[in-house]
Amino acid sequence: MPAITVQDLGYTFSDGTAALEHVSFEIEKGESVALIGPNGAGKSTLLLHLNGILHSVTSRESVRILDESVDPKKIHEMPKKIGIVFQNADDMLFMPLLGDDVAFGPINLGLDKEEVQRRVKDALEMVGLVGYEHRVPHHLSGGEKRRAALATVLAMEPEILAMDEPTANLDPKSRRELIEILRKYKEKGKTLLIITHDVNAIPELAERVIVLNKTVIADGPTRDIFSNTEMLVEIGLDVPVITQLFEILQCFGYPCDVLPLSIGGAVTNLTETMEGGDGHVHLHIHEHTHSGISSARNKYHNHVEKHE
Amino acid sequence: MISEIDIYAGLSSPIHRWDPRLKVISIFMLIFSIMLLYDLKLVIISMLFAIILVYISRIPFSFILGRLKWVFLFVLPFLIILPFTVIGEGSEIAKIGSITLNFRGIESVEFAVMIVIKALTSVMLIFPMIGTSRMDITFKALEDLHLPNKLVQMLAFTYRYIFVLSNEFMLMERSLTSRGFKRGSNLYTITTLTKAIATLFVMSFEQAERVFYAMRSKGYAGKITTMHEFTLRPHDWLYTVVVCGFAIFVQVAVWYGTLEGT
Repeated sequence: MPAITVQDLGYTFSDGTAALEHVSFEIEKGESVALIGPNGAGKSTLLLHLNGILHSVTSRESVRILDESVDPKKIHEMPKKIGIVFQNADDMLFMPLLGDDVAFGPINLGLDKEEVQRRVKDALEMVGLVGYEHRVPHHLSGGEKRRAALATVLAMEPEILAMDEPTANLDPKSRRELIEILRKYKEKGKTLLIITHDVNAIPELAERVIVLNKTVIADGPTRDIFSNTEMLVEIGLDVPVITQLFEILQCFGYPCDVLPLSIGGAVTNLTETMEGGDGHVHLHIHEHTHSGISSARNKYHNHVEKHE
Repeated sequence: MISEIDIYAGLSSPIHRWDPRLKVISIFMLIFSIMLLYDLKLVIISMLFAIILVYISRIPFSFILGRLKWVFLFVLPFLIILPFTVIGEGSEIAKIGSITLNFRGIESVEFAVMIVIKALTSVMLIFPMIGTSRMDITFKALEDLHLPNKLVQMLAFTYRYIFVLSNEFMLMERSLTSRGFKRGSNLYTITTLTKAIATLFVMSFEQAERVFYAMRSKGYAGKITTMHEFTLRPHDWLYTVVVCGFAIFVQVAVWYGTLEGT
């Protein structure tokens, strides 16, 4: 059964700017998908359409969640199906105590007290904030706030979890912790939709990538999308650093047909290459090495040069 | 970590242990009763009672005096103006052009003093009323007292986002300073800060919209409910009887005084 179906969705801001045009895609239950696109591509606007907060006359029939169309009059019933984590955690933490914030959603779902308490406990445990019930949200650190905001949505145990830039502005440790939390959630078989610019995190979190720039530009397995570097660079996006490094290594004669996307992939790739090469990796400079390197590097530096 | 507004909410005193609902009602009733008084002696007795309450609550007097200072500045004009206006005809003590200054006698001074003491006492009582419970518990108490839900939500959101806004303003001010802005008493400072505050309002409006979206995403349908529960114990009622009893006592005293006077 499809978890999210978007069919020919369009949206125009009140000032007449088109935010979304003919957006169509379908996400199956249990899939984890990354939604990428440059700034102003309409990613967050799309997210707010998924639970009916933003809607227009034309959009009403365009979005279906768990095979039911989104009724703007029944937004309060949506959290059971889809939980949305906003980019700014301060927008999501509005109660005096964190415990109340996490309980807010479950109480609105009409659950009884014991169940609400269990959900609060479980959600805080999932994000590693056990014992934070009586903390004041505005005094948490940036990373804690982000995890707390996630807990407020996890407590509603939604079938689909949609997040807007979960790893933006986090220190490496907080970023890693957040990625781990999302990975665990994914392993539970839940559907994930993650808006992100963090291309290095995508291979760990999503098996599929949708590229949005007002409309869907590309949609496919993560590996396929990242192998189309020209298209990504064209709209101002990047590929993982590891992929870029192996592209450079290829110029030194490193035998590699499929470029790895993550550290894990790189380790596998190197191991396999060494096993096939008597425990060694052979790199050398040949006549095309320098031109290959400069063309590979130029490709990623194009962002800047193009506008000059 | 506790916020500044709750700085003395963690102390241990009978006032802190008093059920917040009864505490808010009782002290509010006391303030109301004091506001109705027009007898200097009774007002002074009420002030002493308020001081005792503050003493029991263990909130430092220095903290309260620091805040009463501003209230005093606000009511100070009464002390200066009232003795020359309001009561009776008075005797002329000065004449500047067409304006004559009439001193209206010792009663008018008493009247002015009474107004000032009433104001200070009422404000002083706010501290044991809301400073002895955490703010969120007070909000829950207000909700439990069936105050309009919208009003309680407005208070709760003001409390929550005042920190976000003050932080935003601090960031804005830093950004101004780091670009060479210096506060001074000139028009430039005023226009710059006015613009910054205006931007802050626009930003807060946009944030309000985003918060509303987040609340809707979490199933909000107009009512905030929380899990906190209050329990009433005998000592809660005892404190209520004492404070409300005093509020009634001063009113009875006034009534008795009026009877005797007639």
